[in-house]
Amino acid sequence: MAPELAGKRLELLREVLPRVARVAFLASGRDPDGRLFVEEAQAAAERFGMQIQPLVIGGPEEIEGASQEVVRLISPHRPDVVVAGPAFNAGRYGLAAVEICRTIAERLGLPCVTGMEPENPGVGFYREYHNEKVFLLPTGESAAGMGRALSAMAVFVCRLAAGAMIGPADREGYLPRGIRRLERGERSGVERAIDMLLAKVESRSFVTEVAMEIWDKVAPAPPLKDAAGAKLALVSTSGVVPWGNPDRFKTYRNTHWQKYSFAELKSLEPGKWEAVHGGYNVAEMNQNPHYGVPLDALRALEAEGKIGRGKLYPAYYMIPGNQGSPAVMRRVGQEIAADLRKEGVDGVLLVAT
Amino acid sequence: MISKELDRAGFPVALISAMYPVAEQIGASRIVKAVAIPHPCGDPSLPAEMDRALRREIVTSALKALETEVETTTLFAPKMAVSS
Amino acid sequence: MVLEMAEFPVTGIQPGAKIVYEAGTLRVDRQEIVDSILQETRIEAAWLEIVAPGDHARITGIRDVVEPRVKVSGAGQVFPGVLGAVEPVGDGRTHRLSGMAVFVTAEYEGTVRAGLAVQRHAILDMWGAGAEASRYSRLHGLVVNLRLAKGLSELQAHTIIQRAAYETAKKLAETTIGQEPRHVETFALGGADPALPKVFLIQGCLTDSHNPHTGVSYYNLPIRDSLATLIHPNEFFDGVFSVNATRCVGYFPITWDWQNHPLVLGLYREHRKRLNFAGVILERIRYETFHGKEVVAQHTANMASQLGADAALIAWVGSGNAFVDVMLTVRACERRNINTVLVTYEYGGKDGIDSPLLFYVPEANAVASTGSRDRWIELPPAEKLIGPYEEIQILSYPGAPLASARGALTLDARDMIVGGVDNWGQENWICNAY
Repeated sequence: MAPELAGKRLELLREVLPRVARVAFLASGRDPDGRLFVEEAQAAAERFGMQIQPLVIGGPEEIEGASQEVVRLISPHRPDVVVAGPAFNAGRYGLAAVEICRTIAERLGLPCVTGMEPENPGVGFYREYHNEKVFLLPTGESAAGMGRALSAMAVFVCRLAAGAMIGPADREGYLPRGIRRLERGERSGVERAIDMLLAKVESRSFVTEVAMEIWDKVAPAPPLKDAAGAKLALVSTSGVVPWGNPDRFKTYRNTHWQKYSFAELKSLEPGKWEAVHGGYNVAEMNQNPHYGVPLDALRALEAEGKIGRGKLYPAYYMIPGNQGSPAVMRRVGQEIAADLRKEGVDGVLLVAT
Repeated sequence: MISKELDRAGFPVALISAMYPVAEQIGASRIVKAVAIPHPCGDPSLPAEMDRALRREIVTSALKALETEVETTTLFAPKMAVSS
Repeated sequence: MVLEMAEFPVTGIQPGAKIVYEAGTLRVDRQEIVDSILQETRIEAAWLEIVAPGDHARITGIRDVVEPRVKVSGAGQVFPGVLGAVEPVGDGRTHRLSGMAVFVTAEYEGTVRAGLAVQRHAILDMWGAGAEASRYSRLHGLVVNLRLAKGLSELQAHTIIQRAAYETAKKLAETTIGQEPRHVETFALGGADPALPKVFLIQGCLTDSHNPHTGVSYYNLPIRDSLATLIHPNEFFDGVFSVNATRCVGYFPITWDWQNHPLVLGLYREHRKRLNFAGVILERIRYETFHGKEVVAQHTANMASQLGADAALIAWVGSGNAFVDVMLTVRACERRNINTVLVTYEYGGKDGIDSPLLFYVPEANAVASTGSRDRWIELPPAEKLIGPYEEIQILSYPGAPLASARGALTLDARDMIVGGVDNWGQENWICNAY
């Protein structure tokens, strides 16, 4: 960001928020203009009778330290609202702004307002944090839109400072934080559905009420050199557990997992196991638990040497998968991974229903 | 979801699932086509011997998937005829 | 087919010497109804209670909710195939007692421990947070409580419970015969305006083929692995669709919903105004293999296309598995240039930060939300308990602990409350993004 804009930025800030007295701001130490920016800002601040607290950050790895520092600086002043940015298309700035806002919101419980273009990488993190005290307003791409951005942010700041209830994102103009609230609308689902359909048919604009989710991508783990030489474990979401459901799995929305031993067993005997799962008809699984926990096939392959002798981990991991919340399943996956690592497992078969 | 966390932690995972397009969309990396939702690893309409052989084939495909280098979501199909 | 729905609104239910409907009040001879129900020898005991919206009462053991109706002209009778002959309905005139319902409750343990065939019952609070969450709390209720003989199979229990509910409902409606209705609404397709778009309702219908009662029946024939079919909307109003009366959960529509299908009514009321309502395509969903899902989605879209659809509302019944079929149907329709809007509930978990839906296709660019299925809800203690259960399992699993039905309850989803999930957009629930 051009250093001479530092003064302009402060001037605009002062126009929209005349009573702002203290401004903390981030500057990038790696940016050759960074130091110049700080000098310009300090000069401008003196002209306007404001106090400046600059924080120079080396890079993304210093963001956490900077966040803590900002919390430390801010807390004695007891502000009503904290503002960061706007960052426009500056990626490091956007990430830092979101991070700092989130830290302040979590640690001090203060509402925070920031702004950046919707494609800024900071927005992805903002959405993941689900912090209802942090508001990110969309801006244009460049500092040419500074005036507009600061005005919009200022309006928000004043409302928050006045304790106003902020409504849904599309009505209020901030980007959603991935928080969806069950509420009553003005019209029935039937009316909204028919109106939306007619708009679509007549090529008028409409807004979908549930947008498509983009799942994150994970790089595939490298393959096993040779399955016969590897320690293998079985994970299943089929719900097959020892008869009687000793660990009290629910048939829906489970949040914990268990390991069940089959160490001495060559197969799973019907009647000794049952499928605790609400999402499919379990009659066949109960008659033959191997459909969900294929122990007989694993033993057969062990006998043939396709799976190494003693290399099959002697227990299977179970969480009945019905209605499993993605967030819970992520956590469960991480916990199972930690256990697998502890047990020296190399590769996993996961049976899903 | 679980399989992605295992991948992230460095464990190759063969996900045996009848709903493989759902698994593909979510981004699981090694997916083995299973028979049907209530009985992924087998087919109760088959005689017991054939059902066991089918199960063995599915697990064998899973082992092969674990040994295969993949760049992105990859589907493995065991040799089987499925009655839908 | 032209059907006149003659409405007799009920503003109160009172016990009385005979069953009489007069000026909005339904008087009910409870003994007459109980005697009639007890003719079924596998019912050990039956007792009736009356509830009104606002009563501090909690009903447990709910298996179905039925609106009293009776045909006074036209072929056949309501609930064809269940109460009477398999005769085509949807013509003539049908009387309905609006503003009320028969709630049937039954104590039944079942023989199945888990899975899709396991018996489930629901609760309903007539006041407070629980009432707010359900469309049924606005109705005056005649609660038919049953204690069944021991050792019945699920199919036997279903048959007995359903018959008790449907016969009672019809008997109540019969009291209006000969009286003048408050209001008559006429339902007829046809007379399409060529300037308006031709719109179908594609109704996805989840069934479980493995179960003797698959979950949804048409003229009392359980729908199994069938391809999509065309249904005249008037048939809904005369009760051709019925459900498994051993399973009542918040996210499955029950008899009352099929009788009062809000999307059928909504589209009908726009017929020849902003659109031409062309009919209903009933699509059996929840195929157990992906192959099955693809075929049925494609077939449904083909059918709609052949019938000249310009657009379709797509609604469904079910859960994660069935939703895949639904999204594939959206995709198949859009690829044939049939504009669609999908009407669906969302997930999102306790705090609304989890994924709202579990599967997507890029073509699903128009989705109407009917709110969330799995936000937690706290219910206060109940002053009065109605129904067969003093204690209930809040969580559904083998070995689940029992909680006092009278006490405060914390539910981790809306499943346990009948009407707890707005399947088809009757209410104004929505999830807003914050």
